[in-house]
Amino acid sequence: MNLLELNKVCFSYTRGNKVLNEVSFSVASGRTVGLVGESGSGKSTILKLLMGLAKPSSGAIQFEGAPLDIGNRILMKGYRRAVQPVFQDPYSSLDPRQKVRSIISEPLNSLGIADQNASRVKRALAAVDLPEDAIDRYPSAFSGGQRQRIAIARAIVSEPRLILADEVVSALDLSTQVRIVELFREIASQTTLLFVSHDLAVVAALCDEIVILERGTVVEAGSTRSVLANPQHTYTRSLLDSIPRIPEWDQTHDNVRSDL
Amino acid sequence: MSDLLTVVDLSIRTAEKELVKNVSFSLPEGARMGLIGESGSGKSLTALAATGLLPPAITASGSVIIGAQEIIGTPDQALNRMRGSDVAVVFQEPLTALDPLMKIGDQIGWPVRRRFRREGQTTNREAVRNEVLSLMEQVRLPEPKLMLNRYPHEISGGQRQRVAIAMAVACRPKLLIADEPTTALDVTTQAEVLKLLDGLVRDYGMSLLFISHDLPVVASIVDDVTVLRLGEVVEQGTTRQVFEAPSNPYSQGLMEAARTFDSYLQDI
Repeated sequence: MNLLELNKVCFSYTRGNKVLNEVSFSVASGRTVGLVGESGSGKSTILKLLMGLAKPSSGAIQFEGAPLDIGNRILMKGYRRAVQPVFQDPYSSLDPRQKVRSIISEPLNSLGIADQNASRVKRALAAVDLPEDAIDRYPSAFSGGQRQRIAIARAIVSEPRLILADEVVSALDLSTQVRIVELFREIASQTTLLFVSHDLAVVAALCDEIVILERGTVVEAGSTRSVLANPQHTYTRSLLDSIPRIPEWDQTHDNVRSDL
Repeated sequence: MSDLLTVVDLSIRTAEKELVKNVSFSLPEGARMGLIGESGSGKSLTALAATGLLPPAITASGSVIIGAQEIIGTPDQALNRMRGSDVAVVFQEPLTALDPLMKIGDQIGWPVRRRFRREGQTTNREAVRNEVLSLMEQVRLPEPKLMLNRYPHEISGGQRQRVAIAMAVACRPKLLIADEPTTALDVTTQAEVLKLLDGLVRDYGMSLLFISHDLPVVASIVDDVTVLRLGEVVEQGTTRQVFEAPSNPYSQGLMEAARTFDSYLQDI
């Protein structure tokens, strides 16, 4: 069954200016879906709708078969329990005045999950490969990659059905990106993941399926392998062609710039 | 070929901490060098020191020579004369690099007028406007005549970076310093802007100091690279040497990470 389903979702911030235009895609339980697009494609707006911070102008979002309704507080409470976000910038997404312990246990407290609070936090910390003594320190004691691990621990502590990841490696150094992608691979094997990114390489490494967005419209969707190996839409092709690659040097000619 | 930029034992420090330690490299006329490093490696500080733009609380020692001019310790007023004619910079974030209250045409007009004065040409409106329009065409800004009257917030990120590049090129500098010029841009725009920079550097015979954390981007545009880590040079060599056979463990790790990302796409 599809855990999440968007059906012809439209959204406008100002009248007449459609930011999302009949966006439809679904996320099956246990799968990892990459949502790819450049600035202005509508990725962040989709996340906003999925976090229940705004509602579609038209169309519907269904979670576990039930339509999402921001007005229905009981329904939304259950939904928020089931869905957790991880954001792009770990420097602004962690409260600098709180210790790691209270940052990670925040979802448990606000969602009213009282049992085994301490052991859940401990497990989440271990799952993201942070040492146990991290728990009594402040975010300022950690590097960017470690902070992102704290943010990920906070997202998984309540054992959500769906994790929404918004450009979670974009603000990190390259070698750190590789390690966080590895961590997400592990997490993806245990839950359902909607992974929003502008970076096709990261999505290729992580996602079973891919949805390509261009200016609010889904231009191509399918299994990551088939879409990237055999892109049908010109936009997908230009995205792929634009990715900077390490040049292949050969013996005879050394001028790598000719292929720019 | 003589060296256009020579950096010898450059150290940069705040009151408490040494941020860049004994960095040395040189850039011959017409050459292209990449400064590679992760965050905190000191690559941007090195670029700022090279143009004398370090904030007052940060002091530099050692020597940076552009042309025949020593930069370190030289007062701003004296440096102003060489800014533009000897060196121009393109920064990462084009929205903060441009004056939000000034129309695009006027922003590009500024360095144009400066160069005209330097070269003893007339600086009447007509001449400046024609040069601005020609620069806008060179950086492929769409509809240059309409663009003249736009403000930075009315155009896209890629277009803003083209404006910043037009302003830098307008000075006809011998050395162009590009500090993460495509990092804030979308990937398709990045490809276009890189191609543009590559062509302009070639056409005007400029030297290029290209600063970036993005290894494939650097590899596509420079001939030599210097790898920085925590303010120190860990490796220098031709792009090919450093990318194919890095000798330092840190650069080896960097290259490995970059190739891992490359392989994600190759495996498809």
